[in-house]
Amino acid sequence: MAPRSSFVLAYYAKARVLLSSALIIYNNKMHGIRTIIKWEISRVFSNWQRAAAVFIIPAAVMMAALNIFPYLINYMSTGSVTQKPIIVANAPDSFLDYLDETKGSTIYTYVFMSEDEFITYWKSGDAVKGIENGDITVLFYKDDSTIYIGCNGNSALSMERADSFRSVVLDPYCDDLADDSGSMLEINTFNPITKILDYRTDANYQASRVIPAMLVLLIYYCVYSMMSDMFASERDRGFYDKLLMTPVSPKHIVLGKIISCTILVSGATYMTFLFLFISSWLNRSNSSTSLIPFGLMLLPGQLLAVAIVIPVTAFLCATICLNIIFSIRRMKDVIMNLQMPLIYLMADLFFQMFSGDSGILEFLIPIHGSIALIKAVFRSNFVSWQLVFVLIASILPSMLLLHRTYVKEGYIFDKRKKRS
Amino acid sequence: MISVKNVHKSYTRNTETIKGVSFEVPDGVIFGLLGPNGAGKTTLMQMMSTLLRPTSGVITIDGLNARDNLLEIHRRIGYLTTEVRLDPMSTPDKLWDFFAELYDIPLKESISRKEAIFYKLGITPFRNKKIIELSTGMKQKASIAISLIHNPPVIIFDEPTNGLDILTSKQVTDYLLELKNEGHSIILSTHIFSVAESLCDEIAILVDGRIVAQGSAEALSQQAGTDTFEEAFFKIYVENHVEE
Repeated sequence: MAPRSSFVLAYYAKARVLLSSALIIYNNKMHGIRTIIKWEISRVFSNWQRAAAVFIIPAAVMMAALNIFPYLINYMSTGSVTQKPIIVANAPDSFLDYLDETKGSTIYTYVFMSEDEFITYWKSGDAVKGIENGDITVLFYKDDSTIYIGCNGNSALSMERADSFRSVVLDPYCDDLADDSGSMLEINTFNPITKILDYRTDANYQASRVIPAMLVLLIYYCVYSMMSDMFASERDRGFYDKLLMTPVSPKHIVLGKIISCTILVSGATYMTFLFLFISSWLNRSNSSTSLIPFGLMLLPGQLLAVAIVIPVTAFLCATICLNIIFSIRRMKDVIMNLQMPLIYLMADLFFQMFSGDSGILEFLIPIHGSIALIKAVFRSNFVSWQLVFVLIASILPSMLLLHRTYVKEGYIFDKRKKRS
Repeated sequence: MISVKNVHKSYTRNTETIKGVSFEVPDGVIFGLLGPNGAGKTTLMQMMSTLLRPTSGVITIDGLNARDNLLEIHRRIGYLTTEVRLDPMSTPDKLWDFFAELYDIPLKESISRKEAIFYKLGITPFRNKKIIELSTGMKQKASIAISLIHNPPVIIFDEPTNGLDILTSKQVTDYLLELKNEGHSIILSTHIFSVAESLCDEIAILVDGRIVAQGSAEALSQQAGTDTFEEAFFKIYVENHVEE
């Protein structure tokens, strides 16, 4: 048996040979792709408007949507765009002190009433009307040391909000009280709220209705605008012909452009996530309908899955756009046809808003599968086979579309001329 | 050297744009393609530059078949068309560097060639200006410079002086003559008789996808029995054009 050191050296030598051949292939074969990628990326960064369009606008759109969505939900459930204050009747000094001490930890606003004022309010019927419209009413009933929480039992949102308020404010208050005095308050409700929800988990759940589809919609929007500039506009200007005349293979030109598009779009999407995390940290909200705090709940593994899905989806979107661009000659028609997948994505966005957890087969549908995976991540239902399914559903069609577009060189050369 | 043998091109089944064209262009010769719009000049030039494939026939450049040796051919030809609009937000300098990298030209060589061509074509004063800010002539000069980045032995120019003022046009034609003297084969198409007459060693008149006459400007005038080359062209055109 050879000594261990020579065994290692033999493998080291083999590895070196392999590595150097790989480097030679990389330098020779990938030279064109590398140059195109460098050029396309530097082109975006050389112009601040282009850079903003790629990196800031999608993030801004997402932020705006996420900030507007809770108001929309509020409006739909309560008729008011702003968070309604919590009506607190007959609050003991200990509760007021507790709120003072924990000031800033929650964003709830309150309307305080004495017992008499509340009785008048209740008798007038306004209290019932208010509860029906989404008011949360908290009554400290000192006789039997019970806190009653009033909410609309027919409205899931109202119940969720009441649950959140209970878990975020009342339960810690009771614990605090028990610690201080040893006495325990029993908590009952007008409506049977038995499950205590973590509002952050709930925010994730709510976010899963919108964020995944919005992200993929933004990915497609970015890919579409970039691909129409990289291919359709350049072809229209004749600049694409100039590239085809270089000693770089047309396949490498196409691949270089698609890869640079994927890199840029993935970067822009990661940037959107970064914005959301910052926002999540700055706007810690206790509203059950708020989507802002979702980021803090994502675990590293889940984030990694999302980080993998984003470039894969961007690549698939790019190949779809490429196929559309090379199938159609006229610039006007290209732009119109590139917008068609947006209709599918919009429909998916609405579907996701009202649908529950995704079924197994949904992960095998290109693009929809990516949305389903991000949704599963947000709902903490993510398992690794879903990622495998999504990778298959994204990479396979990408390869088929690439093959269709450029394996027959005629598709790049003659066909466009035939249509002119 | 370029050799075009019995080349046909059809875009659709029933119509043939190029109908069996053959010619040869030796080194150090400027070959002009002259013909009315729709005669097939651009199609022929795109086939020679490999942007289009002939339906039948063979095009060879320095003995290499254009159909099979795509990338090698690209190293040997410089192609320019007036339709090309360069990236509007880029500068001639940046575009040169980008194409030099695509052609894999060593940095030192690229810089010295850039300086020389930019100086000759008068690009230096606006080399760092964005393409969008340049005039038509300036853009055309930048396009020409980039087409010649790799010092190709064969140059194919589709109407290189189209849309240029007299001064810029003169600068371009002078440069083409200089390239010819250096031994480059140049094929150019033009509508301007004076350019064809003064620049081209040999002219082929293309009518309805066919070369109907070929020779020097003088020889063509003699052949047609006219005093000027312009008259010769019109006579040859009328004799050979078939109304469809």
